[in-house]
Amino acid sequence: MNAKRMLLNAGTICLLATAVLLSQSALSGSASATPGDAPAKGDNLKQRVKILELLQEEDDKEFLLVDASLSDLNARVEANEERCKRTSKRLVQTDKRAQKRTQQISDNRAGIRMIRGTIERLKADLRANGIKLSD
Amino acid sequence: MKTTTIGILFTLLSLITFFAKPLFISEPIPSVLPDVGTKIKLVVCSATSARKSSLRNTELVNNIVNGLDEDVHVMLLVNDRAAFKQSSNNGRVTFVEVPSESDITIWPQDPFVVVNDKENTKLITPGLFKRKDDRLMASQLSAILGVEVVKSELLFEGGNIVCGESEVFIGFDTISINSQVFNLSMDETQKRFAKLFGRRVVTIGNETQDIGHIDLIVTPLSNNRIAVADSRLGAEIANRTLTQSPDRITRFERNCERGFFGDASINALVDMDGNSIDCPEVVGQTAIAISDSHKLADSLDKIATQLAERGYDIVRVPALIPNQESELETETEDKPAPAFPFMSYNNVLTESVANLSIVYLPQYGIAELDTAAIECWERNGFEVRPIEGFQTSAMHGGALRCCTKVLLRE
Repeated sequence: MNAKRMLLNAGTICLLATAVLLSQSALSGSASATPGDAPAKGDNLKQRVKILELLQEEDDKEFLLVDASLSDLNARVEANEERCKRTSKRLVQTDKRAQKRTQQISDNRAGIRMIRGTIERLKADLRANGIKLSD
Repeated sequence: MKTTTIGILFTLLSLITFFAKPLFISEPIPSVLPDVGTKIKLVVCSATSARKSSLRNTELVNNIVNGLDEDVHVMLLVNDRAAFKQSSNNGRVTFVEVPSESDITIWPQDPFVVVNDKENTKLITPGLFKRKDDRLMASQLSAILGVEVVKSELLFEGGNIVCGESEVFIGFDTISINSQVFNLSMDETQKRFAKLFGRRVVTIGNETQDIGHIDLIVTPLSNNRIAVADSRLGAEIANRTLTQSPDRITRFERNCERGFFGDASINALVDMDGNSIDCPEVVGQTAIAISDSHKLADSLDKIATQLAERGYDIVRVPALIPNQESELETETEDKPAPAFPFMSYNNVLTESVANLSIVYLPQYGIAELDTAAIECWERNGFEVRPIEGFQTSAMHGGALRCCTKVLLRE
């Protein structure tokens, strides 16, 4: 009798254990980690892509991306080039003026040298004529 | 007595239940999304604007999006959304904004690896990723796509990892660095990667890599085949062109220089820190690249031999590879030094659709090399879909796979 009861109890426990295993097996999907609002079953990414595909229209084929900042840069480059041209023009003019001034300075120096020469000659003439000159 | 017996039985059954669980419940093991396989459904690219980056890739993004099949959806990472205008029929592309103050590159391949199982797709990020703000890519994608980001403590870059039908191939440098950082043997490190990526790991090479990322030189294919770059073949083809039509080579070199900043009139730019960025000299450099390619050929042959000894059928694909050492001297983690284009025809995307093998192949502008690569892939049973305009990105050392990360296959 005791043995029969023990066998019955063991059988019950076995059944319970099997039930636990089956329930774990059935729930294993939801037990795995899923992020935020991702779907719990099936490949979350596949489902997202399906949604993206639904949002896609039939004529969504040729894609054209334009970098507007490139034209913005081009505009800046052009503005810089304009500024450079203006500065360059000013530099050329300044250079011309500088050249003129250099020429003037050189002319002036030549004039000074000429005057000094004339003075020296005059002094020599005066000394030759017996006129004493102070230093 | 009876209570004791029942107690013992209960304990025994509990133990059996615990240990037998794996036999009854087969939890799917996540594994790396392979580089071979079914149709590509979702990819991620990155677009940088002219006012934010010296490497402006808008045209290239257009080429990639339009070069891929019409039903491939593209997630486009941008940090300057206002700079971009797009055609009204842009349903194929979803913009993923990263904060405007962040600085991203055009290489979404590197900062994470995609793993999936029947239930979920996850993005695994390395323990540390220092290149600009590229670490933000995974989290921004996660927010939009609802996929989980799992941070690993291992250090890796996606470009140094390629995945075949059954094995993951990882460049020697990645295994070596992790082995040093975590004080593990190379075998133990390999095992840790195998556990993380859910597949057997094969280390490519047995010494410090000549080429930083193996995805530039190794491409897993279906049916136990692997394509390995052949820089000797690439150099021979380029040399023939240089001898027979030097004008074409000069035109290519000039185009590289003119297109470097996206506008031929720009010769130099200043970066955010005020440093000058100059266009590298390319004119006259092809002859040097040919010589450098010859020098690299033996180490690529070694990789081909290693994989052949492992039982793979090897396919050789031409490549023209400039000197990698000079690049390393000036390279920093934030600013890789641009140089002569790395013309890789291994940095590709492949897919199989109804028994048809398709390869999306980058093109660089030396017609003889581009054509030789197309013919090579065709000889190996692929329908080739060429994608133009990679010369500028190749000057920064990357091509199609570096620019385009597959997130989902059918």
